[in-house]
Amino acid sequence: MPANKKYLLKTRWGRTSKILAAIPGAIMATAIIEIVMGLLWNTEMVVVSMWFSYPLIWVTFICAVYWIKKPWKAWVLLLSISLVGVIMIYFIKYS
Amino acid sequence: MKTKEREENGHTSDRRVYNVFFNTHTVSGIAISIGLYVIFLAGGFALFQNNINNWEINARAKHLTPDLINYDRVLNEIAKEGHQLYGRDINIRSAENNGDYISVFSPPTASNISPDSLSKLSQDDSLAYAQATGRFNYVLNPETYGLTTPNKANGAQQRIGKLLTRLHYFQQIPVVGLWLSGLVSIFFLFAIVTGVIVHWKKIVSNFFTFRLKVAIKTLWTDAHTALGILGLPYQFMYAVTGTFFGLGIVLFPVAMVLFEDVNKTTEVFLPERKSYGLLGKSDQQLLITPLVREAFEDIPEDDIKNFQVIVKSIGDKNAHLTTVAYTNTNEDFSGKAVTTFKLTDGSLVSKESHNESSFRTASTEYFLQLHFATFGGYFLKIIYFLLAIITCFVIISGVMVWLTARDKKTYAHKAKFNQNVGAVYLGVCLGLYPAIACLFIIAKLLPLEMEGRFDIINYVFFGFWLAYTVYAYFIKGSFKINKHALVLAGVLGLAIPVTNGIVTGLWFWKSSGMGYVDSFFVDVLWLVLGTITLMAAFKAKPVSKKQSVTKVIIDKENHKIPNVTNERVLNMNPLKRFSLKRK
Repeated sequence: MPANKKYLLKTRWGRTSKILAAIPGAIMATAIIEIVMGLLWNTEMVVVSMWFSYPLIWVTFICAVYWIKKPWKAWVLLLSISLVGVIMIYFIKYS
Repeated sequence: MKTKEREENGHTSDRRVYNVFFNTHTVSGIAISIGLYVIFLAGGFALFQNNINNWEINARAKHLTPDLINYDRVLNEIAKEGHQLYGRDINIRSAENNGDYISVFSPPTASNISPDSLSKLSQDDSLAYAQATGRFNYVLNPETYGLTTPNKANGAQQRIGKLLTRLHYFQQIPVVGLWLSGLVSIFFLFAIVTGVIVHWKKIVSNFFTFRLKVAIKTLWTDAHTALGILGLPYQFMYAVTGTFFGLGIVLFPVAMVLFEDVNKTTEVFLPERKSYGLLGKSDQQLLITPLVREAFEDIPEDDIKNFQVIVKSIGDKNAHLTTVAYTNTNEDFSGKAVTTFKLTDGSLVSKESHNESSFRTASTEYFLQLHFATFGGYFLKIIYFLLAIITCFVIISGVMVWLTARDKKTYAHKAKFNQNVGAVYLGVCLGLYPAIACLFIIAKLLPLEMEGRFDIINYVFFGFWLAYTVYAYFIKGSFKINKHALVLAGVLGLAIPVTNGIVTGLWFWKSSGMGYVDSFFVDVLWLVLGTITLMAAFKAKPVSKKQSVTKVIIDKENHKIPNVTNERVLNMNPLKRFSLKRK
């Protein structure tokens, strides 16, 4: 029954890296996406709909992290989304 | 063997994705299983927490309407206790389904008072002010207006219904308990999504496949997938809402960046929490009671489930009154009515009707309604309870699939470890049910006025649970652990209505007629649960491990089950296919 091991990550740091990407990494990316949406659209409406949008975006990121094969590529995805988000926040808010 | 697998599963990357999600489904499922089981079982009982609380103290269910209370008198009683009222926000609220008390709560005022108005006070005054401005929390009897602090035995906090509710979000674990429950919830959501991905191709056939009398592992896998799909919408809803309740803290940084103000952030989620600040003492202040009547006049009295009356910045030029009613109506699912008046001249500031709510109110209230099952009376709560039990079964059967798959020669080197882990898992999970039954009995046996009553209840409940886990560790064998837990829970469960009858004289055949609806409800609930549990316990028979998957297929062919060819059975369940190959 157990999954075929040849498809799973073999190194311990690889697995740790994926868990870190799935929790703190995904929280960071989700938070930044929410902030960008809040700045672009009606802030109050975006904030109150975080009740359901936050867990759903978060879980999508967790799935993405495990779907992508290499841990570093998962980090590249999360960090690039965060970076684009931060740049957008900077320009919308401070210019 | 390898080539065949490749043919069946198609492209290499598909196989990788399937195996990776299969593995994450297993690992995340096993990691959260105990926590999730506790959440669903305790949560199932927590749906009835008000009934259980009333059952415990033999309270008659009373419907408290907002008109019955004199709010100005409540404020006077608070002032008599020596509290400084000026500038405070005072929250007076009723508890749903409980007419015995209303709670009166006020946060500390220091944050509300501007430094200017504080500096104007003399030294002695500001000292007295500092002593009187702390937070207070009272329970008030709506008939006698007598105040008690809620930590006393007759107060609102220390009841077994509340204990189960707190267990539901691991409040007994200091600091991190609530966050832990949120993390369990998000990984539950992840397990749901990966489970759907893994079973996607077979989702329809799995739903109609429940082979009760064949090999033990197919029984567990069938139960896991069929019931998992059956409860999917319910579980998905709870995974999403539960994440927010547990990890609401992660939303805070986002809202802080967007609003740059804590008060504004709270206010967006709960508009009634808005604080108005101080402008200076005012001489004229209107009476609150008539304004509250006015606020509630267009809502039929019977529709109001519970209500809140919040007085803001009392005695100030900027004093406001906000009333909130939570109602049962067919027009609007959220059913929340919020009205705000200015207290200096009684003018209406804002009003949101119970028949039509804004997106803002709705998005919060819908979540609360869905999570607490407060929109459909007892019928809905019973359905929720059954679904919670089904979810518990899905969790247990998932663990059983994992254990049974490891109960063979390839895992011989780990056999002892797996057996121990399995025994502890089952001990914790199955031991909770008799422990809850035991909690009800001990709560009835100890007199309500007893000193340190709740400490004993806590020790007995958690002690029983721990003892069962240790017992399970020593007896091993999942059949025995299961059967003994069910027998214990059944006997204790049936003893609950009897104990209640002997101790209080409120036998379930007469309590309903005397108006003790909650006493009746909880007794009958346990009567039904206890009977079903005992029936299940004595009907359960150990399934022989010898029945292999191969034999099942041969059996099926011999019995000429229509449309089931060998190949189709092979394709039916990925779990089964894997184990078949190993033979």
